[in-house]
Amino acid sequence: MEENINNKLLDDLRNLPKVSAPDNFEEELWKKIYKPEEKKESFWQKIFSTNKLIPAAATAAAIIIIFFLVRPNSSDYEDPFMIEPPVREDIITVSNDDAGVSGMIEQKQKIEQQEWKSDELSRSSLKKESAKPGADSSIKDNLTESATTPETLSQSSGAINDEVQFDIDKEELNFLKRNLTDQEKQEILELKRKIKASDTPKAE
Amino acid sequence: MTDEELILEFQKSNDQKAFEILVERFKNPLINFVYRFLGDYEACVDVVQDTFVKVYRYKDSYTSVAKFSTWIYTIAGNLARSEYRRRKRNSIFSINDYGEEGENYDIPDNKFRPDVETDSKFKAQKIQEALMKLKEVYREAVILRDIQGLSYEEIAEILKIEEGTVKSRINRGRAQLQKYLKNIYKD
Repeated sequence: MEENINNKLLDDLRNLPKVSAPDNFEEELWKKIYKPEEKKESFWQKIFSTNKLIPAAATAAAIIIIFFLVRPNSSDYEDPFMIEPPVREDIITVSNDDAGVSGMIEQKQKIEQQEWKSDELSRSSLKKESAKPGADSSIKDNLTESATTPETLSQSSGAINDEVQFDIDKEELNFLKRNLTDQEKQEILELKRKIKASDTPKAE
Repeated sequence: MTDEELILEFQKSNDQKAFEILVERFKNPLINFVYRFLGDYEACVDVVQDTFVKVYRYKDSYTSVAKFSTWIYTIAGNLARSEYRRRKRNSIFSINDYGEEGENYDIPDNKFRPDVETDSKFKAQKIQEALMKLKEVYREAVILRDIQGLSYEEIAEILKIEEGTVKSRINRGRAQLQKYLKNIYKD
């Protein structure tokens, strides 16, 4: 069976329609024969031919440009996700930082100096009064004892602090704001009254 | 005059007439052989013309030891193989894994296919398609033997292989052809 199929196949192969050359075969052949033989390009000529060199150079230039434009390690490059947000000074509130504390110290020093000057003035006026006849000698003694320089004044700042009242804003101290109850308010008022009452005999 | 006498005449006296006779004798057999191998008529005409150009330019490389037919078939076969590989490389449209051998299959140009005009055009078309599915080495051997009718000795000389190898290639080629055409040759 297989042999028959093979024979049939072989017959068909043998009897396949014959393909013939076109009419202008010889004409085209002579044209080819008389055409100068094309020289085969060498490997290097193929590589460095202008047809291939120009696109290759253009591609290389494009790669270099892209590399320098989007280089990830470039120092000029700023990652938009890594930029810190802009500082708006107008909305910054200084609470318990160094600037607030230094401001307080400066203010204190100014007040101390003013107080010292006023003390000087009062002392000089007392001297004048003591120079008058009939003045109490004990006052003199007190004055000599209490005569102080700014340096000594600063040393005995504890005593001065008891007398000097500082105007400290709540903003500078970063107080915790708290709503007081009526009872607490009354207690505070009583304390204030007591302080005032204790201050009045000293002044006298 | 025999082919060998004509080529010797052409070699000695550069007789154009002798060359023209050789062209006239071999153009159709070569066209047939190359067409069955490539499956493209235009390409096959170019290949055969290039074969004759080589014969014309390198006539002196022919030695009277070999038959002229085997020499010219060798040239044509080499050029056809190069063209086939070039076309396979440059082919934009190719059907991969079409054949069982994993060979690429170039669709033949139907415009100049003479078998289309014959009565047995369907069978001829199927045979050509099956031939194109064969491996190059099997296809070449089967065409030379079963279509061109050359002897095993001549084929061995053309392909520069042993006669035994020729026979085995032909047998394998036929078996594969039969397998591809089993729908036609089932009875």
